[in-house]
Amino acid sequence: MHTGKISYWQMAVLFQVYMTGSALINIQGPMLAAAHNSAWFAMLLANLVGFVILSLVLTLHNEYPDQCYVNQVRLTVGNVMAYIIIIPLFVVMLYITANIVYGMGQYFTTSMMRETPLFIFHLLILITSSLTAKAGIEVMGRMFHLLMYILLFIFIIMLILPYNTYEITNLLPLAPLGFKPILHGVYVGFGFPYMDVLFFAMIIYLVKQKPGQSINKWLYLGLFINGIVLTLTILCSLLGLGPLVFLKKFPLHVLAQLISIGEIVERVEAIFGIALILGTYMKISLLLFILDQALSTLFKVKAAHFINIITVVVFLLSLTMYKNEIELGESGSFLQTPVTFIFGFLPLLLVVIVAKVKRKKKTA
Amino acid sequence: MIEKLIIGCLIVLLYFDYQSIKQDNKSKKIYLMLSIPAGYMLYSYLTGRNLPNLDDGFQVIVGPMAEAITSWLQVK
Repeated sequence: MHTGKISYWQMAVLFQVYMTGSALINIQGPMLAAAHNSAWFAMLLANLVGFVILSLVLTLHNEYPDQCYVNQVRLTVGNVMAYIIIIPLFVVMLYITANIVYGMGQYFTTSMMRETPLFIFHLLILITSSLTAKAGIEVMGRMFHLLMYILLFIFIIMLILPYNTYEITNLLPLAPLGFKPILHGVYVGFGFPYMDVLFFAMIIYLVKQKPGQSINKWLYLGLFINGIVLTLTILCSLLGLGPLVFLKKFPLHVLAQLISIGEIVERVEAIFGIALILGTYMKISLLLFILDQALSTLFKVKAAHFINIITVVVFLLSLTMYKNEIELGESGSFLQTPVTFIFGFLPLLLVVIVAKVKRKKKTA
Repeated sequence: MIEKLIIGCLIVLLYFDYQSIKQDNKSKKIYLMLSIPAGYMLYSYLTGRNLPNLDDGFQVIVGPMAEAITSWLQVK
């Protein structure tokens, strides 16, 4: 188990960059494809589902504040069950990390650097992320603080500058196909990014506990901000691009291309690329750290031993899983939700129920 | 060519990484366990990515369920 400790604020920052990081770029396409004009509303509802997952995670955290999710499962349902629950979850986390890496590489090879081979992007981001993960949670807590401000600044600029293209009528009709597309959007949002909240449970215990204070409100606030930010990105994409938005995989990139202020500020999509790299880099660093944490705690060995081999596994997974972007798109919006539901959400629910029953028995 | 060179460098890096944790018996075993899927995927990558992968595995396990839900949610 890792031992470094960070403050409440740093943990809230890590949670924010973890949740918003890659979703800021990757969620609009699948969400708009699923929920059409009501994608922004579906995003808000998916955010509510995120609150349910976070409340389950925090219930366990409050029960065992000094333990990571692996030990919480072990203490609640026993050692054998911990292996049965955590090993598939570990594989799911590898799968999701590889998907995020592929998503970033795909963005660059389809929109900005078409001639560069995909593996170059994967390799560079994974090397940087693995070095950061090796540096530990304290370094990430300090470093991501500044990067989060840069990311949010770029995000605000990207949404404000194309204001002259926004047409309120593009939002209408709100739900022309009824409620099912909205449900579809919530379904997509459940798998990515909101089931990622569960993986964060591996590192919540690394916060420096202060008497009379709790991390809960910081995380709930972080999730709320995440919901608002992601909803705004979808809303602005719809306002700016209208029906064109449904044909684009990365609507924010197209929105950035539309920016034109006095023929001076033009074609700023490269800045959008910077935001994409920052967000993905922070998310992957945290995921590699979480993967190492899960493995080392499960097998009770020294932490940070496996970051390099996990990085190589993710690298190879990202290179071999998909042959093209269509396969990734299908997998992301089609498979990710049931996979995370079965191997992540159901076991979490079971562990929380058992923990509650145990607590009741103890107090009775 | 550059691809293979990078993969060669990664294998050398992993070798030294393995040497650094070798004295811890349990860590060594887990490291080797993780090397098996890595080796499989490397082989798959070098032979044209035609071997079954993790995505195919999930497709088999949850594919029918995912298909049923998605087709119910999609409005034609």
